[in-house]
Amino acid sequence: MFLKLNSLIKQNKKLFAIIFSLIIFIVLAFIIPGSFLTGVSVIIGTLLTLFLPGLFLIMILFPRVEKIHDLGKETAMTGRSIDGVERIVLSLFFSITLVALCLSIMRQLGVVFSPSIVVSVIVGMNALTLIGAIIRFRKQ
Amino acid sequence: MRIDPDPIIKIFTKKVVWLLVAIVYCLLIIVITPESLSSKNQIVFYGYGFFIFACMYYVLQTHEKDVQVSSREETIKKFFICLLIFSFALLLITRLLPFVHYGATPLGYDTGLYVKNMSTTESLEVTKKAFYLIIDSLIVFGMTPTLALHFIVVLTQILIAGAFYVLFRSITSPSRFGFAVTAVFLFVSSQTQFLAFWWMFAGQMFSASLFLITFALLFRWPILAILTAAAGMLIHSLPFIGFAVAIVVFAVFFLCKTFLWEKASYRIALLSSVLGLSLFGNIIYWNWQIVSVFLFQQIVKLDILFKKDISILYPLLVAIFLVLILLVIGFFARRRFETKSVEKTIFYYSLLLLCAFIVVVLLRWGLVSDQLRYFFRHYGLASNYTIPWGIPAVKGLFIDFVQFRNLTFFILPFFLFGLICPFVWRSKLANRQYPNKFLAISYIMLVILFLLSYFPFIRQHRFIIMLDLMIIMFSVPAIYYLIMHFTKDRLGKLLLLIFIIVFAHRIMITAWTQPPQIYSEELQELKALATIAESNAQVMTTNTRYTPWAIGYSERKAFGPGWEFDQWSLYKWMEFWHANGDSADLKRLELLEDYNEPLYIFVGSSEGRGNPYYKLFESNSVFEKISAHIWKYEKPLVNK
Repeated sequence: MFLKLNSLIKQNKKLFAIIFSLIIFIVLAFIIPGSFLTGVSVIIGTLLTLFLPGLFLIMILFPRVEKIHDLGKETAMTGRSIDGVERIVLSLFFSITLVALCLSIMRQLGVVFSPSIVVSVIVGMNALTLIGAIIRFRKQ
Repeated sequence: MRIDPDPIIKIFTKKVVWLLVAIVYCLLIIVITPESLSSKNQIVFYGYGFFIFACMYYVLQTHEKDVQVSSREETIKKFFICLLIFSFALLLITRLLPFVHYGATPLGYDTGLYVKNMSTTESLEVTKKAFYLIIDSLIVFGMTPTLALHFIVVLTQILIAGAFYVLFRSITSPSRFGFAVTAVFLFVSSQTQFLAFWWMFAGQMFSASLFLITFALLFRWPILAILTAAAGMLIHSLPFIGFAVAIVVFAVFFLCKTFLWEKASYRIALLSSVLGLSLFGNIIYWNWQIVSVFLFQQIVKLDILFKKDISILYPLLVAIFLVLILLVIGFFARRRFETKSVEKTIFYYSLLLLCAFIVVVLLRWGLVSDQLRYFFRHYGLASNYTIPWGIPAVKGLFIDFVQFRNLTFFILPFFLFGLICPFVWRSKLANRQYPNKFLAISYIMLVILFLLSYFPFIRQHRFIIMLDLMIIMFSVPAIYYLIMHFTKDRLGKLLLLIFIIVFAHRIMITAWTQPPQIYSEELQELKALATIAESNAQVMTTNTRYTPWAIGYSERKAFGPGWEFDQWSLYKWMEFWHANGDSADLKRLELLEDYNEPLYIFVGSSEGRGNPYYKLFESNSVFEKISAHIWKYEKPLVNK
């Protein structure tokens, strides 16, 4: 039975990834203090702030994926390809960098933040990087 | 018969090199042995150091001849993938374990201050700090301040591990993947890093992760390094100090090498330019004094910084500025730089990084100038701080160098090996290349961080966290070679398993047994004050350990020894804490009369029940016990 399940997962990797993510999403939404809707809002907000802008930026900058394997391939770094772990890590870092720099610069320019402005800025940042990623993807 | 001398010379040279390495290694082992150990344990440590050296010597000798590495490629790859998954799992377990064991607030000394700041001085509407802007963004989406803070703190741990992974994947080394995984494992099992997490230096750890990723991007995609460096500096500048100095040293060295050593004509041109520009600078100063006064007094505000008239230095400063500009322009204009090399690329981006640092410093000039003034007032030394009982806070509340040495003694021999044997960094598969630039910057950073954390500089103890990151970096190659060697056969794999279990066990034990600064029941009592205490009430903690918590969660004016609103001197506190005798309690009551409003006194469980003041609170009717750790004090009517 385990082998069957294993082969089924291998055949439908994307589907299972989506189902798995949804389960985690729902479980987390329940765990987070407050109502279920607050939990959903927190998860989406966290993704929009700390993960997605960086991920889209990484899709623009490093379109190629490298496998986790380089033993015997110690040639000079091209810098253009990254592996899955690096993709996740860099997505987090670039999201943080974008949010920190964008909000700090706006503050320096004299913008007084309110919750709605912050949400607009973060959603706008996601939209811009997503458009960039789509353009890059279509070019490829 | 003719004998080819080359092999003999090679063997001889190799032996001499190893002999020298052995001597230096032994000397360093003696120097770094913790003095706190008993003589018996010191001998055990020497034995451990010698054993690691012998192992490494054997491993490196056989590794040279090991031709079967490629046939074991799959096994090694699988092993490292498993170790990577295990490391991240261990990271999550150890960092979440305190929450499971001790409730919602197991971390930190100043959690309360962070929480308080989020609703007052650093709220979304007023804050200028990048760290709070990120946290406030999460709060906007519905997170509670405490949850947002703890989420960021746990995230910083994942970020640092990830940054180590990216860093070692970005440099030329015997194995980019193997080195990266080893570094992640060492970070996860580092007790110093766990303690930094436990103390919850949220800003510093956040910025430390950005420092590591900046360092990694410098070798991979330098233009992005500028962005991460700017963000990191905006969040917390301390982790970037060693890096910034290393970049400056590297850039100056590269300029000197290019201009002074490589060609005589450049040297002559440079010297004449310096002389000419010095004269030119003087002319500017004497003729257009207003320009330099405007530059240094209005824009850079040097006089305010140094609190004295330093106009005598203006001509020199003008000359230095002009020379720097000339150097940079000359450097970029030269033809020979049209051909690209890694060194030059890194140099270009080092300059850009420095520009980013300067921009950030100018953006935060108010804060930076305050810190610089403070630094110069005490000549950079925490020991020159005028209030003796404030010195530990100025040094940074964290473990001291002796404790740090005790916590890291397990990997110190590996670190020494990576430090004194640079050939362990040489990639055998990539034309025997060294990661030169990485090593150059790392060695400089190591020296700077050692000095800053060994001598009593301001924030001395906080630099220990950064020094630990450098120790992990230098320990990676030695441990990697051991892992490679042990994966050869079944017995080796068993030993490797024991090695990993020992490291994991140590950090698990630390994570499980590290008690919180405040227990959840005590925190609940402080939170309850927000509803039961009068609006004009004050909260006093008799130990500074609890003061930030009282400030953050009681929602009343709170203070502790040496904090804002405290009206007693150290002498009065000493009297309150330790006085004994017949009139001691009367004296304590007299002291408490300094506070007019209703006063709630919090005595935490770590203070013990044998204290004289605890006994007074329990026995005297002036104090009304409102919960297990809080007493209400109101002046007797006669005194009123």
